[in-house]
Amino acid sequence: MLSPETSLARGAPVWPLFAKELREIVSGRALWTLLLLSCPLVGYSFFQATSLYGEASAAAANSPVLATGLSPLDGILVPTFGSFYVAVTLLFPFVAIRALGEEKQSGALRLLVQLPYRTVTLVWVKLAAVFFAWLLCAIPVLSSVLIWSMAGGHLSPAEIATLFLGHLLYGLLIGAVALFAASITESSATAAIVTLAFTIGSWVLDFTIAGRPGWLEWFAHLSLTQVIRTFEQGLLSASLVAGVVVAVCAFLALATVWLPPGITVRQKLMRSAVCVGATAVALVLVTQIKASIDVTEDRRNSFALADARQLASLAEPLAITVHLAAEDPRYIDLHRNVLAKLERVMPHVSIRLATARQSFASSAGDETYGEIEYRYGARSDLSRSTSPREILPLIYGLAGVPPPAPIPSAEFPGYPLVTDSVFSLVWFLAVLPILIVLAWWRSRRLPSNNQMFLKEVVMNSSTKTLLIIAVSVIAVLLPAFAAPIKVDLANETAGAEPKGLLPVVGVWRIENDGGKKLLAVDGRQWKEGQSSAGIADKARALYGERYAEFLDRVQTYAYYPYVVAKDVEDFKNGEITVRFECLSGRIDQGAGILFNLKPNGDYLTVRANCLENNLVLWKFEKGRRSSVEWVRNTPTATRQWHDLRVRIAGSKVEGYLDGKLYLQHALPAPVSGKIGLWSKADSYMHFDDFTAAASE
Amino acid sequence: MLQIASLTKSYGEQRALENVGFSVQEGEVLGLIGPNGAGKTTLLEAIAGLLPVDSGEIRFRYQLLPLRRRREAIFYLPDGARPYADQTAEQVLAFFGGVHRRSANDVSDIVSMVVLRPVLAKRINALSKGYNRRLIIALGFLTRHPILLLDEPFDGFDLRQTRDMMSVLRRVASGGRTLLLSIHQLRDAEQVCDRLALLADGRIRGVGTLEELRRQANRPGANLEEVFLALT
Repeated sequence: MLSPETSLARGAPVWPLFAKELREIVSGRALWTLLLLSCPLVGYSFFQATSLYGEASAAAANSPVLATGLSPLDGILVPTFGSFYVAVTLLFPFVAIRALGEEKQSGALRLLVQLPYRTVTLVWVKLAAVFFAWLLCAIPVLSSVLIWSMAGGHLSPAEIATLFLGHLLYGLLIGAVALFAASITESSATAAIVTLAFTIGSWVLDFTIAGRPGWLEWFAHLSLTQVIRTFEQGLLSASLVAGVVVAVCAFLALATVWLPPGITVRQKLMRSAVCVGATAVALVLVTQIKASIDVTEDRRNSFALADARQLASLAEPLAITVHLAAEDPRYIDLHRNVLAKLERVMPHVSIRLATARQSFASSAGDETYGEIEYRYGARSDLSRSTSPREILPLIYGLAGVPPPAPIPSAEFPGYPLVTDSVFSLVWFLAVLPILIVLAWWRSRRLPSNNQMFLKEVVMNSSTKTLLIIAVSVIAVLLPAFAAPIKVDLANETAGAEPKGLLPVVGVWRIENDGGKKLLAVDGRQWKEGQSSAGIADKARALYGERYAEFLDRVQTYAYYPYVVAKDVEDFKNGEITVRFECLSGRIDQGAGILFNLKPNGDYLTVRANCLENNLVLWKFEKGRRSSVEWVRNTPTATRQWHDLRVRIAGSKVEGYLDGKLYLQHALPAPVSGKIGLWSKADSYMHFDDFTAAASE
Repeated sequence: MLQIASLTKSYGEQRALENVGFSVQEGEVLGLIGPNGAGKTTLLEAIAGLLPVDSGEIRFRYQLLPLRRRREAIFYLPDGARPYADQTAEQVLAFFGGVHRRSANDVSDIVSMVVLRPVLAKRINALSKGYNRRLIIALGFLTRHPILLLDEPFDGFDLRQTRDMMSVLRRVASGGRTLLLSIHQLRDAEQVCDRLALLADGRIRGVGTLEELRRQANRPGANLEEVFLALT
């Protein structure tokens, strides 16, 4: 034990180092203070957002046009995450600095750098601990997402994931800056001042010089807060993600240079210069990456599909010269509505501000001010419009191509929701703070002497506590991010039966509608008692040896076509949504969501009807159909797309049509069974976006 | 085992170390003796690679030991460090034990040897100066480095505790580890060290056993204090 070992080349395990870093961050007050302060901050923002969203939703209740403007991304998520951003900007540096600053002050760093780890390993493990701390700090804001979901709010996984990624990258950037600051300063206080100079300096850049012409505009782009803006707009830009990753790596590389105490300042400055040079080159390279994805449901960052395809096919360079000052609201409109979208879709676009050094105020006498020149190949044209409705035809004219015929596609319906958000206040102002204080107390509790000692060298009690906290956090938050099961029709074959759904009754097939694949139930050739082809085999596929009982009941219900989702074994809680369009049907035009399908063939369905304009919860039990809940006056126009949603919580069932809650019913027993889609008799319907999002 | 040659370090115009050179044998306890400000800590940090030097070289088993490989052979225990103040002594020991792949029995034996068990559940910021010193020494023992540099290892101990710790250090050295101790209490150094290196004003004034130093100072029968005063 006491004898030396000359061979120390073998690597040391990283886990003890990571566990130590976690303990160091969790044992500090900064993390818990941030968490506690975040509760009212995030809670109030969420409360305000849901209240305002509710008011707007109430106004939009009878106006589908108004409803289309209601997006949870803008109305709920961005404002709520915005308060988290404030907390991260102002307080997270103190959490991150602790990962290094305390060691410098206590002298522990001199021990740490002698351990058998490379300096780069030390720094990256510290960043990993900072990342974990950021996840803990995100608990309040993630819980708001969960509350919104539980209240019936619509969530787009792609939008949330993008927004979350943006804030994560921002948090990592702050963490990397804090580690760098701690590496070059002797005290945590000085490191905090340096880091806050970055973060608050970014605000100053935003408020004072953003939108100014010339080099000030370029300088404003260095603001850290700019990182989040693009993600808030629902745009996943490869260039931005890569740029932030490069910046994080650069600050970590600088921290790695400055951390070891045995190197002269001159050597450190030279290595830093190399790092800065390499970073500059990498940043120039990443700006060349053009790929980006518009993840928004309303495609706000993209032109209409037909225009996007037409513009993408224009091979020659398009040069745009804008005679507007950068801070002019018309330029901001033009950039958002046209230029940014053109840059995304066209292969060769160059945009030049002719008035780059000119301010809005100084341009009053310039007659060309306000003109935008478009040059495509040898042809050019002028316009003063900032609207794509005028600019796109102009570009098509220059290119000598006709404006494309519109491609029918689903319009964004909007997701109005009126919800009582008082519960959220109780959660954020009482329950969550109490839980945080309890966790803090638990982390500070000392082990008693008879509880220990050192039976496990590697994983001790505090580490286990941290793991329990981490697992609990994940367990609580996982349902919010549980990927919903969506029946994807893109890979289906037009004219064939769907592969992801099992037709039991009626004629179900994939149809191609203007390039988009949809699920159709075609009852035009309907004859009573007609089950789907090969029904016996399908019944066996669903319920194995118990298929005979199921088959008997199918024959009884053969008036009502339905398909069953193959990938959902047992749906108990959550949301099932589908979009549908009534095409024709003399007897009926019914579209329903089927659930609680039992092995004996009994089931429930919430269905809308374009002929009857009502929403009904039907029960099919022991060969008989009976209505359970009936709601009249639910406008459901033929040949228009509608949203149908069923929300199940135990035995409670809610039915929504076009985002509005119409139907509520408490069943005698909790729901449990397979799910699917339903129709009736001679209905000819289209279905799309069939999604099942289960929750605990 | 370890050869230090021509080590020089300046802070601006001031020379902290000047042409320092000596060697340490395997399993030896070498005492670095000098008054406050003599450059003992600077020298230890320079040897450990924690302080950049102007010139000089360090060899381990006759092989040049560059800065980046210094920590493979040498581990330095600084004076005044109070690592991870909010963690318990047990957690810090477990961290070092885990890093160096020590078994629970190894850690437990070292805890017993340096008498740390009564404060294992205490946070570091609640430890007395003496117990903090024991913890730092225990951390050094948990490493697997053949050479340990200890800066003022007896600071904070009373007479009995100092004697106990001396016997612990002797045990460690007899196990094959080489110890280089910076000590300003000459009486302590005389008792625990095999050989002594006298440092004053950043220069080595004498290296050897007490008897050799007496001869060098031409003071037969003198104690270390008298020899030190004669040579510096």
